[in-house]
Amino acid sequence: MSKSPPGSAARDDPGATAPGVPTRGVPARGQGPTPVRNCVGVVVTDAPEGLLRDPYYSTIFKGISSALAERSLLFLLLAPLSESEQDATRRLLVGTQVDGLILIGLHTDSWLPRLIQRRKIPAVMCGHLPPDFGISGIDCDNFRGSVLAIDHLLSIGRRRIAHISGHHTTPSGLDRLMGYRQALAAAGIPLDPTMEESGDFLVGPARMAMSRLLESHPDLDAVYVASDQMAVAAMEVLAKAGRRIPEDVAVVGFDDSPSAAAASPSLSTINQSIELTGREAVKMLVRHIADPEAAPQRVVLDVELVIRESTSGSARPAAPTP
Amino acid sequence: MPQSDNGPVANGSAGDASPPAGPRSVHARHARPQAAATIGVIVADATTGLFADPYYLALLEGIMAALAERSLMLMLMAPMSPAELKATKALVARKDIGGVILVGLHTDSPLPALMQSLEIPAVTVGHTVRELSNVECDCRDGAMAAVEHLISLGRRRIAVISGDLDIPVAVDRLLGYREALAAAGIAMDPTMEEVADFLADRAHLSMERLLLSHPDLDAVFVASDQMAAAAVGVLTHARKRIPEDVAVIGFDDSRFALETSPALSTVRQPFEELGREAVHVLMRHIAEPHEAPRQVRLKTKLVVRASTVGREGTTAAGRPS
Repeated sequence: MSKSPPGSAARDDPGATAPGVPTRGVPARGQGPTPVRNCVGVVVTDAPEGLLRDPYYSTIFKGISSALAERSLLFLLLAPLSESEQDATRRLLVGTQVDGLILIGLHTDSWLPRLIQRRKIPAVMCGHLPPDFGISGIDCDNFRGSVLAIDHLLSIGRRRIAHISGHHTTPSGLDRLMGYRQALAAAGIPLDPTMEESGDFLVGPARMAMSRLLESHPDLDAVYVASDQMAVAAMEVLAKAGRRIPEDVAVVGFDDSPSAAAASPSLSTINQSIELTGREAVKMLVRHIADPEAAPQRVVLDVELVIRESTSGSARPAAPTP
Repeated sequence: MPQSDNGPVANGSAGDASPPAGPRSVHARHARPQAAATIGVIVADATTGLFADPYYLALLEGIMAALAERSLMLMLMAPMSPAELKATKALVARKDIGGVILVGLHTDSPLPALMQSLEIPAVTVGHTVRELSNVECDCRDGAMAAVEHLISLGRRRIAVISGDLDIPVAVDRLLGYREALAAAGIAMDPTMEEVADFLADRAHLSMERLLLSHPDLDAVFVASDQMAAAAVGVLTHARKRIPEDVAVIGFDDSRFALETSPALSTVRQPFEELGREAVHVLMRHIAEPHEAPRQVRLKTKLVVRASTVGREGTTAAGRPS
């Protein structure tokens, strides 16, 4: 077992029994702060309500759980939804030594990375790449995905392109926003902050964001939405407002989840192989478990544009709108 | 009321590692349910892919929603191998696990006995153990409703594709089938019963065998929509018209029911409500550890679609009872 550095961190280790420290800390039934072997914790610190209805999460869990099962590692999902549950997570993580952790949907201000580094728990961040945490991470190329989406909308003649973003405190939400801005700027289109609305990666807020955009910019001719689930919600709002998709407003999502192909009209989107992200995260974690000294890795998976009816419907505009 | 479980954590990082202190007696956990911030959920039969199965997803949604309302953390474990089962045991033995919900157990599962030996409040979903409370839908009643529906349409040569008979809910569905046939005075024929383990490819084989042995069958009751979708594929391939030649009814009312062509008549299970009810019953046991185990059965609902009545007349009908 790796020994913590001296000082306060040493007291941090539940396995360390300093002389003179009473053993009252040993839990019941003689279990001790148990090293639980063959177990990988999957922590979702920003678990939205309806987590499993979100195809992003169920798909990434599918990738992770199948890759763990192949290695006979227990899939342990921890889904804290509130601050009080974060305390529970902390207790669980410090009182139990699982083999490693996969972290999903971390906000940039999360307390978890510091705890993990201090305690030298093998860990991989999945679905986001934190540059400064010193922890391995895997994600798709969110920035490039946005550039592909905007370039596509520009290529079909759209110029008044709005964006419904994800959480700005998640790297994926932020990178997709930055990619949107960068692609517009590269095309010489002036940025308009009122064309950006946050949908927080949730259906309800995405609906409201679309309504606000229609109110403030009734002449918008395209909207790029940071997730398919939000994009489908935005399309419902557009249809209700009497806008034809894509004739009046073209829509591009992100993820290429099953809901994109099933939507009516079907949704153009950015394909990221979510299941593969989960599987690769497990591979990376297994390397860290085998070699705790291994340097953190960053893996970026490629994305691609998938064109469907929401941008190429029957009435594809022949020329750029004036 | 000792605060030692929570105190060190609240004191900040230096103390966050202090293992829980406090009373050591296993009974003490019962006296301090509010100290248990985490509820364990063990899905014991995830062989078909926990996150690919709409049944588990909806059930877990119900559980998570009910836990969130109570500010409890979910700790979900899906053990497959013996090594993983061992890890699961170590995790549920932790003192801050307030209780456990067991899902998808086989009849020979060691988990109910383990929960009892650790004196952890536990509730099963869809698996009756005498010593533990159980929450499930009334599968036998649901299966009867499905087969009675087929009989009411004039079908008499009704086959069944059952789930894995190690799983009690599968047994109940088979018994419901037999009971409905018996009540209608239709003779039972063991060669009309196939077991397919809730897997689509097994159901595919079962349907092929049934068509070979009983080319004149006029209806089939399939114990899950996913298996029924596979059966529909085989029937269509064999040029049987659905429902004119063979009526098909599934069970669950999952997304598979709407993805098949024609859309599947089925028996709707209240998945999310099952999850919520399991949390509700568990919380009662945590608060009242000496209360006797309870059997909670939620009603199913017959959903009539094109696979039994054709394109017209597709309606949802409640089970008359």
